[in-house]
Amino acid sequence: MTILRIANMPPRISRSSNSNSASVSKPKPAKKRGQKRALNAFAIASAQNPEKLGVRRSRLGQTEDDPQDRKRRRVNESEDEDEDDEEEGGSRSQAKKKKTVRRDDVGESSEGSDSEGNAWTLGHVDQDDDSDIDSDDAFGEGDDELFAHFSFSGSSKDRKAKASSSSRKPSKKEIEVDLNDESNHSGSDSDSSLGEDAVDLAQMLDDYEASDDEMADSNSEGGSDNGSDDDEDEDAADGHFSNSSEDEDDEIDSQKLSRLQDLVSSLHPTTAEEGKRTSTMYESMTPSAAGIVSSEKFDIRDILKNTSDPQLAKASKATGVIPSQPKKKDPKLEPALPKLQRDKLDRIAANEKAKATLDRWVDTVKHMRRAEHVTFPLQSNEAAAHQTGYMLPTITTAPITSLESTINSILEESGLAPSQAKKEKEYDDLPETNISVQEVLARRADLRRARELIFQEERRAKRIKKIKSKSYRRVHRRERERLAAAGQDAFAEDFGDMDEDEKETHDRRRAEERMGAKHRDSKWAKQMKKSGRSIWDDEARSGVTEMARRNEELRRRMTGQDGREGSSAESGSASEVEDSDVDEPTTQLRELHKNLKKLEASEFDDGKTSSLASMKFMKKAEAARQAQNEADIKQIRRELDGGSSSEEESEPEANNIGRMIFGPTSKKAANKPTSEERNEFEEAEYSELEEEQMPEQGLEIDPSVPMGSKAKAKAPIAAKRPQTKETTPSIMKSGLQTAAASKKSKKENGEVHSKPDQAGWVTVTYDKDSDSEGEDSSEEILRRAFAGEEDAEEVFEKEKAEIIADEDDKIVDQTIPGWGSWVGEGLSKREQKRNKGKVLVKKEGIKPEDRKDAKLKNVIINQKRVRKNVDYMASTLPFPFTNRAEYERSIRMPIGNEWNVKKTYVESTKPRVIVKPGRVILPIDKPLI
Amino acid sequence: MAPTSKQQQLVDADTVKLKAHEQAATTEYGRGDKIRTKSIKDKKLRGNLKALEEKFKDAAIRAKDAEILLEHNEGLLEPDGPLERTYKVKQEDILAEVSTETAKKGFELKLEELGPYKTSYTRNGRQLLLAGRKGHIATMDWRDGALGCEIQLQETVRDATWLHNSLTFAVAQKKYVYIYDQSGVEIHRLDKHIEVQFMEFLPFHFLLSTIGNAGYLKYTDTSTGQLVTELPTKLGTPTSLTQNPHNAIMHVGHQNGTVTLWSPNSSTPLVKMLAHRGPVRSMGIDRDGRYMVSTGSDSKMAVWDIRMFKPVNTYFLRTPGTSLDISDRNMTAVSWGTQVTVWKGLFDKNKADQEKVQSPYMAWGGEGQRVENVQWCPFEDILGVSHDKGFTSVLVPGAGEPNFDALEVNPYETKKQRQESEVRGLMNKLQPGMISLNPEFVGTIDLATHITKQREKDLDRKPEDKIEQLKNRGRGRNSALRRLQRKRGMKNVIDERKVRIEEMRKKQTTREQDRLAKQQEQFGPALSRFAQKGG
Repeated sequence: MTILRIANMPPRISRSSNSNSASVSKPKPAKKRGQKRALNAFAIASAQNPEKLGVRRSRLGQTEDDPQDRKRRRVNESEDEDEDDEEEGGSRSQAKKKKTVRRDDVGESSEGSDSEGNAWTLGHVDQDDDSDIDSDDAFGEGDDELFAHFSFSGSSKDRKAKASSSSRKPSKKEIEVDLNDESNHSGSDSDSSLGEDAVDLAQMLDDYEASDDEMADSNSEGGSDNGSDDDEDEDAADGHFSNSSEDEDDEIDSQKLSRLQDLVSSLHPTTAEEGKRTSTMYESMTPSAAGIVSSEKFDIRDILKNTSDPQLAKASKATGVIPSQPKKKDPKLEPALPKLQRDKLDRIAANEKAKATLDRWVDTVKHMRRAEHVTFPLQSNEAAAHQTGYMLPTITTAPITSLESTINSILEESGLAPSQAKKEKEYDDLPETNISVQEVLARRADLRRARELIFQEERRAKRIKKIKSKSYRRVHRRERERLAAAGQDAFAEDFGDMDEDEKETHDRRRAEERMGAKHRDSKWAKQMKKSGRSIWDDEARSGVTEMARRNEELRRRMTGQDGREGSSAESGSASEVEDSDVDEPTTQLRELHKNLKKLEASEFDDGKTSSLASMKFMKKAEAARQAQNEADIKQIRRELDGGSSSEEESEPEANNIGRMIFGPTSKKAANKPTSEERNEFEEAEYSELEEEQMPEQGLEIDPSVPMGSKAKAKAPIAAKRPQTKETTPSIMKSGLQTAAASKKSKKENGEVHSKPDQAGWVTVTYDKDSDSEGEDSSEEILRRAFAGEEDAEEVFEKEKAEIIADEDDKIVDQTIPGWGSWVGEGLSKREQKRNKGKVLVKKEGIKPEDRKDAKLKNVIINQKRVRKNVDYMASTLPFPFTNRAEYERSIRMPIGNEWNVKKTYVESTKPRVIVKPGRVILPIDKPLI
Repeated sequence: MAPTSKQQQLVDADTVKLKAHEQAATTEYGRGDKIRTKSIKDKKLRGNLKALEEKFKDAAIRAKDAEILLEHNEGLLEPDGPLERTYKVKQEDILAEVSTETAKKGFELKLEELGPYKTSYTRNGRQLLLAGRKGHIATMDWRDGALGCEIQLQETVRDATWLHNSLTFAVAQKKYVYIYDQSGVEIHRLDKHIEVQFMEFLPFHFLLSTIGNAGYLKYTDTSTGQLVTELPTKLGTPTSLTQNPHNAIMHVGHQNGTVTLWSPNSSTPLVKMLAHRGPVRSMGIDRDGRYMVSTGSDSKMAVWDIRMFKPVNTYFLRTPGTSLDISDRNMTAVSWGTQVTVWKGLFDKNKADQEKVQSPYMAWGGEGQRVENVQWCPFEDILGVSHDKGFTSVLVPGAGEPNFDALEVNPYETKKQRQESEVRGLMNKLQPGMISLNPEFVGTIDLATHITKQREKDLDRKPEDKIEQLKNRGRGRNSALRRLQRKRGMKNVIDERKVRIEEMRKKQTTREQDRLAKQQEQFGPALSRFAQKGG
């Protein structure tokens, strides 16, 4: 802003005739012009951009109920602008800044205008929002002169001061002088009063809230005008400039000045306000077709009313002006707004009012719109509120309607309903528990003892819990987990579809986790990496670490470990002894793997080395060494893997959650149940076998097998074991088991086996009672009777195969007959054959595996589209629905009375709007809600 | 932690009960699963669907609540101990135990000469139609024993069935099918239905479907009298015919042991399944349309799941089953030789695995009369057995639906109610195009691809000429052509179309004038003024 001012000043100074104030303020006529323009511009601008008003108003913190005031201020601004376009920016600046401007001004005057252009543009940028500027630009130089005298009619307070010294004429003269000033500007460039003025202003700005009188005193010229500055920055600026324009007059000598001072000091203490008002008076001018015509003419009374000077009074009398009209409120201070604007304001106000009135109905309308049924005439609000639809006993609720209350009173009188008083009495009559103090104390003591005992027990339990060995813990933990899993399965079976909430929460958790990993490969992550922002930005760093953590957790979950648990264990809560103990081997393994990885990495890093290393033989040797190392690492890794896998096999993990792994490794999962089953089976009949089996199992579980190259060989054996295990005992145990196994299958055929005797013979008897036997024989006969030449089933299968082939994808030869047969008749077979199949088109059909009857025996389902049914189907999804399920659900329920209870039927077929016949439907008089 | 969670879990006993009630209601009366309204983005739609779900739930709960009105319980024969068998109970024992009114229902008609008889009950179980092979037709209100009509056609009668109510019935005679009214007056002859073997009437579609010796399945709309479709089965003379009461699909049993499923909308069978190793003698389908029981010449009784098209169980009969019917409460009566066996629980829709029933529920016969036809009486515990010696009404406790919906089928309807239900039935008549394996397809979205739809469109169809259509329209005073001309506007645009219209109009007017002149001439000078222009 300061720069602005500096840039501005010189030209103005050069033009002004006033010695001291020229540099700061602009010439009066210019201001006048500004007023006109501003008004005009304002009218245009306000027409274009009515919102501006509101913004301005709020920005300045003015009371909203006074649009006139607002207007005036605005005109002031435009005045400033006119004076000097950049100045406007300055006018808005803070008081302090103005001070500096002054000082700079002094320096500037000597230097001349050097950085003008920049300042201008800057000023414009600041004011860009104001439409006034545009209008100013639109106002040409010629117009200025054309409407010059209009502006004079509404003078500023400077002129007011002048007028006080003389009659009305002098003021006009002064205006002329002012006009002349424009041309005289150049002469008054180097004014000594500049410094003075600057000081004055500074003082004024310092004593921002000083009284008017003080101001007047401090100001050498036109102190009264200074008073107008006091309220706001803008106004201050305005006032100041207008003052200075007055100061411009060189001819005014010190005597006159002192007189003026006296006059000013004699003014009414409210001059400040007055002055302010007058300065903003031009706002009230109405723009007309001919230009701006001030609606109020300048009145000498404005000036004279406050003077006590008898001479002045006389002069005013001579001119026919009566200054002694005591007015509390100046009617001129409330000028009417231009009609255009007034109308606009009216409209806005009316709109708001209307909106407010309409808003009261919003709820009602919404309610009506959402209501399933609306019945006219509408029930009154109160009645609707009480209509609960239930019959409530009058005893429990207070009577609502008058009828209810009367009935209630009658009932009470007749003794059928309990009266209020009676109820209370009953309550009082309740037998109090008469217990002696001792008894109470004893009870309390008992309670305390019991609590103490429980607490002790708990403590003990805790201690005992801690004493347990690790292996005990491990065994117990497994059992617990198994139980929990079984329980969960049972739960899932029982309430699988019922417990939707849990499912939902589970889903949500999963979704959250997925979302948590969303940054993994996102733009954000890449950017982080690239910009290195995570080095200095705490937030970014935390984000990155969080991302990494989640990533890791997810990966671990995928491999089957519980991410949450693992993370908590890792994060340092080593208090869980059991957990750490169990995880030990796995952590060790992980450590080893990590080391291996490191090794590998380090080897690859060795690539760039010295020149010696880059020589051929060195490279060769290096490569060889590397190969060796890699082989070693691989070996170790394989061993590790094998070891771990064998270990896993030996200990069937119950807590193997996470992604399922299919393929050969899944055998070990299948291993477990079979062995269990067999155990159960054998326990029942051949309990002695169990002992023999046990060592075998023990062998399998044996953890003492050293990890190493042997483990590798062991893994496949372990995988194969389940099959061999089933067979070996059966062979060994003299075929007992085979008999048992075959028992089941043979029983289906109606055979009954006796228990094997000592020789091992089994007697087989046929169950003659079951009709399956008779069925069998007759079935055979029937089969033979109805066999015919071909079995019916075979025929059917053949037919099915044909249909399948017929409806399958087909390759159709679309070669046009005669294609390529140049020679006509005598075409050889070979040639003809060659021309076949030139244009082959695949015709889509139904693939055999996609058929509905693919898995059904003895059934052929026709999959052709039934076109006549299509007439009764919806070709597209109807509008409000977003998917098929929604739509089809909406038509799923029949509404006919054959399928529904009467109430449902009536409800579903009730019209939305019901108008009671023969009733006058009046508009709603007040909102229902 | 524990107490709070426990508190949370502790739900009010009432709400638990309510929830259970709701669950029961929705499983029984709710149609399909709820949709998840939460995921719907459109606020209005979400609100609407939520309200809809709520409505559905209410409807289901109310339906469940209304069960209180089903005050009748089905009876049942229950053995006292494990050694007692229900199939050993004789009719005499039952008749001795039951009330006299019920005992009256078990009666016997001796019709030895003109048999064997085919029987048919009306939908409300009120009227009985007996059609003897040798042309004896009789209708009766069997409760009162009042004979409706009795006619002797003196022609072979192969089948007879009631139409939508007790006023008309159709009889498949030697060559054609005839329709008679309640007093036995022949009112229609369906000469398109030739040598009909079996007939079925679809009450909701008003379709009479027949199949004759030639194996053509024909549908006639009995409300309009038009033949809807003729479908060649191409599998020779059929051996049985029955309808699926759930979806109006016709099941036809064939000589080669296959059962084909037909709808009037497709020229090929919808499903073809091999049910038996010989001719399929009879079939029955349960009320829900889930299970089919069939008997074949291979002496088997096969139970099929006809939604999955999977065999459920096979039972053995000592002689091939000749007739089979399934009651409202899923009791299966099968006649074989001189005997009738009633099976209970051959299938149960609520069971995941259907068990094989070891012994029948009831048995009847074995006294030398060859059973021709068995038919359950609706809303009664009565099995109508027709045999070569006449007709017997057998009491089978627990066979019929004890609670009837008088709005749908009323066994005690008055004349007025019958008339009203007839009108209602006609107004609610379903079109033959709505018959499908899945009867709930109506209104659903066609999922065929765009390509399929395009292919189905007849692209070679001639564009219809509107002017030609108008020309053939019945003329009034206001010529359709003229109106078209007027409507088109375009006074100054003369195109081929307009020229044609103009020409045609001119022709019309000249023809009209000629006619007028002729008429005037005909009327003579005195009466010529009465010649009318638009006549």
